[in-house]
Amino acid sequence: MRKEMMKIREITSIALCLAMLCVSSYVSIPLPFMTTPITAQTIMINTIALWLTPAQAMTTMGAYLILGLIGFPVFAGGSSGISVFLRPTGGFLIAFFISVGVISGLKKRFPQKLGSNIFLTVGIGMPIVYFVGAFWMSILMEIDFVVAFQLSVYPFIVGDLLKCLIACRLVERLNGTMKQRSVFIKRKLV
Amino acid sequence: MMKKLWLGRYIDGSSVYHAFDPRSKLVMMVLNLLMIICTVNWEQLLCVTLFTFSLLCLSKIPFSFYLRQAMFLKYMYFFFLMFFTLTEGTTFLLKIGIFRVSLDGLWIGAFYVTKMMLFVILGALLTFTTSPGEIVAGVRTLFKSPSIERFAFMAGLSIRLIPMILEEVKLIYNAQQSRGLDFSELRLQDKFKKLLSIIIPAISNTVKRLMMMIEAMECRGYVVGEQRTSIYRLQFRMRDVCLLVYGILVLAIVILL
Repeated sequence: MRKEMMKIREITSIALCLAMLCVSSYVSIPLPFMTTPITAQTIMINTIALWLTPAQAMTTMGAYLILGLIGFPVFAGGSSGISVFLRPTGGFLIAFFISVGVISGLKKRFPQKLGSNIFLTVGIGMPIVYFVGAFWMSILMEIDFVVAFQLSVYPFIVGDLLKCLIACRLVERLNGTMKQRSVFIKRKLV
Repeated sequence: MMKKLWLGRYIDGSSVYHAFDPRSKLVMMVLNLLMIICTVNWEQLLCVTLFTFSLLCLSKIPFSFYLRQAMFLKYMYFFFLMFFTLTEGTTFLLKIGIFRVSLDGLWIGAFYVTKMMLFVILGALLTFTTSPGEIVAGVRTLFKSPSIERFAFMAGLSIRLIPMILEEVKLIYNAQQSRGLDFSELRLQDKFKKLLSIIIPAISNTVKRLMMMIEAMECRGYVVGEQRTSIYRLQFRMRDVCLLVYGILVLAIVILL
């Protein structure tokens, strides 16, 4: 019974993060000095990577991608379907899946504090997303990788840095709040 | 606003396409995607377009809804059109510096843009005529396995959680506003701090409600992955057979062209 209860809590925590990921795709914050608004999707993706275990994080991202594939309007701007992946920017969704797995897997080797979280998201997560996304774009549009990298990465570096910092701060506050209120998802069963 | 974005995707109606079994609509969407992927010439594209519009007529939803959905990607369409016009083809209409405008490239760009629009419209057809609960029920019954059962439970729970989260965010936002929070007057750094003061209570309260829901489900005897009956019964009828046969026939025609 204990094992089954843990399973239920694990699945419900994944469902919660999945719901928050879907909601975050609709949230955008326009900034005065940028032409493209900051979307909360990347914030939530990094939060999920830092907050859940590797299996849970990758399950959440996988479920998110599957939901979008079968037609739920969960991707940025309410888009859905396989056409999202056939776009030049579709590779970034796959890159997020890889990035979540790597960040979530590596965070065990680092102490759980703000500095190491920032290093994981900015130093490891962002390069993975950029390279995989640019690689996908270069293949799909049959252009040079360097050109694709310039098109898809340079305008977004500042915004993504801000999003990673927000995600690290959010996880830090979330861990504190959850411990304080004794509603942490992975708490021990009595 | 955000609630309308999500809940308004399903357009209630009593059309023929609404009444189809969700599993048939899912299989039909896969067939349509196969058609579009196999399309390589204009005859095939015309056939797929006519087929798509016949399905749209069955749904009795105004075309403006689909066009509005397709126009989400208007910048992408323009980008593709310009890209192919300037880089493909051999018969150049005119040369402007390093750019070469060609008629062949324009046709190729129009071809790809039409395919992309068909992709989006067919995705919208499924979500306009099928409620999220029906889609999850269809996925669950199409593939009967424990992992799909867990995924269906996760997806169904997630769909029900989304309105809960939006409600919670709205509640806390109003509470913060009543305490003097004004987003328009804050500096950028303060704006982010105040944003966290809305997100973290919303997540924490949602987790608490989720824990209570879990306890209630366990009290009612729920075990993950175990075989269960369902209160929602999907019925596969003769009209579903007709729809699938129609789709398979058109797919065969498209491949043979």
